[in-house]
Amino acid sequence: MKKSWINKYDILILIAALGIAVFVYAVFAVNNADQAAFVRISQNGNMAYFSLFENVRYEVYDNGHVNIIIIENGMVRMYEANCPSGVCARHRGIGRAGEIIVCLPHRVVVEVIGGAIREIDAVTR
Amino acid sequence: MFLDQARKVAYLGILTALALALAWVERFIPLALPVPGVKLGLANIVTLLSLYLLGTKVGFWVMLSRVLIAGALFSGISGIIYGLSGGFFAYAVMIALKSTKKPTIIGVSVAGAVAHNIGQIMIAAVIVENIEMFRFLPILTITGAAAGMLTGFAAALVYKRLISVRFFQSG
Ligand SMILES: [Zn+2]
Repeated sequence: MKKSWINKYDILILIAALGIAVFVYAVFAVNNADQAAFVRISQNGNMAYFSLFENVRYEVYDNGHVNIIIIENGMVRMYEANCPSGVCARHRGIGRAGEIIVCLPHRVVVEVIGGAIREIDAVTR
Repeated sequence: MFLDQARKVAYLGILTALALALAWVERFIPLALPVPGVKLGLANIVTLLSLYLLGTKVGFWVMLSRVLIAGALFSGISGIIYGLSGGFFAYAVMIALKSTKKPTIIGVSVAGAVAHNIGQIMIAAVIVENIEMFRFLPILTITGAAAGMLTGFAAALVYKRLISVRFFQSG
């Protein structure tokens, strides 16, 4: 008799993994029903905010680490980065609330966030 | 199975070298997803084999040596930090599940790969000081499960061969 490769506990583990993925996805989806409005660029706890609808080129320099972020036509993208893997610069442009591009080695996070102008004022003030 | 100390050290060296070779090969396999942390985790095949053939302790040392050396060779201090956080978490989950004797090596591999990615997200969230890193959890959980099935299947294949030729028996 040939024993099968996987058993029901393997299937349960797969279902649990899928469940975790769906649950976390749903949590973020619910929290990001807002209309996209702003771009938040952060590094080491420092943050900069921009409107998603202005055209901006923003450069982050930190100990030889360079990240160039471009906001254009309601989209933001990592235009250039000198991190080893270059994963962040290959990421497509983002423009919906809750989307995020991360340059892990440089600890740079680019997020599209929703909300009204005065909320942002409250944060930056 | 009983192994004397010298044999254990020899196997530890062989398996660590094998894991390093796989970690090196993996660098040349391009993955299309632009998400930090997505990877095949081929070296996990060796961690699983070490765990199943030589036990919890040897498996742990193989994993730890591979993470430290691969980090030093290929990715630097940040690679070591991410590798260790993922590695410890994955290993803890794998020995816990293996000890229940319920899932096969494939289920254990899937759980380990998913735990590895979740461990890395947790440390990444701390390092970039941004809870939003957990946005990557769904995609990293699914890619982790897929990669875990692949490496688990490979490990199961090799395990069955090695057991049938009694390769790791002392004597
Ligand atoms: Zn980068």
